[in-house]
Amino acid sequence: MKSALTAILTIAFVSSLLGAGTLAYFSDTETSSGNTLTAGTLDLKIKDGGLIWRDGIATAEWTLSNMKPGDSTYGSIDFKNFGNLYANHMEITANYTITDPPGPESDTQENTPADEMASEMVLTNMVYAYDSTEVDVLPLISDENGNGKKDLYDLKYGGADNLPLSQVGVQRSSIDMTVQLNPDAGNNFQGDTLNLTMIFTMNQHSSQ
Amino acid sequence: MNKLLTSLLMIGVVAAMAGAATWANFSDIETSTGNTFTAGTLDLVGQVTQVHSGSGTTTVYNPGGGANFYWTVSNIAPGSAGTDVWTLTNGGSIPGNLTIALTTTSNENTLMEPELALNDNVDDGELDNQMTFGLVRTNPDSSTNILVTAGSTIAVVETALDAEIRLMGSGEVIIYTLTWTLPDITNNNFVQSDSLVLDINFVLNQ
Repeated sequence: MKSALTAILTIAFVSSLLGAGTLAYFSDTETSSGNTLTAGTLDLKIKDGGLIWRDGIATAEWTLSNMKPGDSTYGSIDFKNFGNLYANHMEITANYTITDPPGPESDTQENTPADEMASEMVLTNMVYAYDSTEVDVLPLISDENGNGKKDLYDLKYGGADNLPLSQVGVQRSSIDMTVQLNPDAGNNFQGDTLNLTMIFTMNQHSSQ
Repeated sequence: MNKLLTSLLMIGVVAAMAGAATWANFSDIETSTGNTFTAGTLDLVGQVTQVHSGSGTTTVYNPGGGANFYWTVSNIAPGSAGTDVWTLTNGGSIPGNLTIALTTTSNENTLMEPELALNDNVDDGELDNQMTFGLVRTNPDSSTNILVTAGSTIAVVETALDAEIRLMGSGEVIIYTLTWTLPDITNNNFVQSDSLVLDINFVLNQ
């Protein structure tokens, strides 16, 4: 019993020596913590004359009810970058759908394609403004359907790209646009409704 | 009685003569003083630099070491790229083994509207998924080893650094160069305002 106790004590003593030896070796630690990569932000908000900037506007800005060839409507939208990165430019395109209910008898074409009606919705004025500079947007839109006009079809498929933004201070800009039903549009569109969605994109890089 | 006295005297004389001879032997003493035991030193010195191109703002803290030495880059965007260099010197008098531990944290931070439009959530950030990295070690003899090929994820860098065990002699220098980029890819908007934090411990053990 006595020799067993001695053995245990000896083992414990040797263990404690080993432990002390391990801890006693030289060591030096240097710390490089908190190296941080943080992404910036690019956040476009728009408004249509009110005070509140929003992520999209559900209220219609361009509306024509009971329109007839030659009628037009005007609208304006303001843009502002709420992010902490400078955007390079704005891009404006459109999308649309058509509603063509049966009739009236004078509607000479049922199931009119949306693209066909959009081709008759002519952009008579489109001015982009940033800082104190105005840009005539119409020359920047290609005549995608080749009808000799700049219309919503062209805006959808060609768009208006590379609209400049200030690179100092707050990035704000606006677009003024007037849309007219082509005075030469025929009876094909009687009773038809074109639902327009304007798409505004703020791009970070010139390649976009 | 006289004989006895004479004998004793003789013994005394011989003994005295023998004693005189013993005291006259040569003798020399040398000393070895000043033997000292001085402990060596193991002192790892770290430095860091950071440069970037493209969008972003760099700040470097304690670039010369002595305290936590690190950098931050804010407002990076697709197209941003950078290079971070950690220079480690064994400033002590004895060699040691260098080991490294990297931990990463990916933060979502604010959920921006462009992120919400992609159905992003608050669980974690996506910067660690979109950023790519490369890692090169420069050895004490100035030779280099590519530890991680450019274009890899931060997880690959973590694995490579955690596997490092490098013997550093006194005065030797080892450099780790980390390159990074946030490439232009689909759905970059996922990472808006997200952050990626790299915490690194460099340990030099005897």
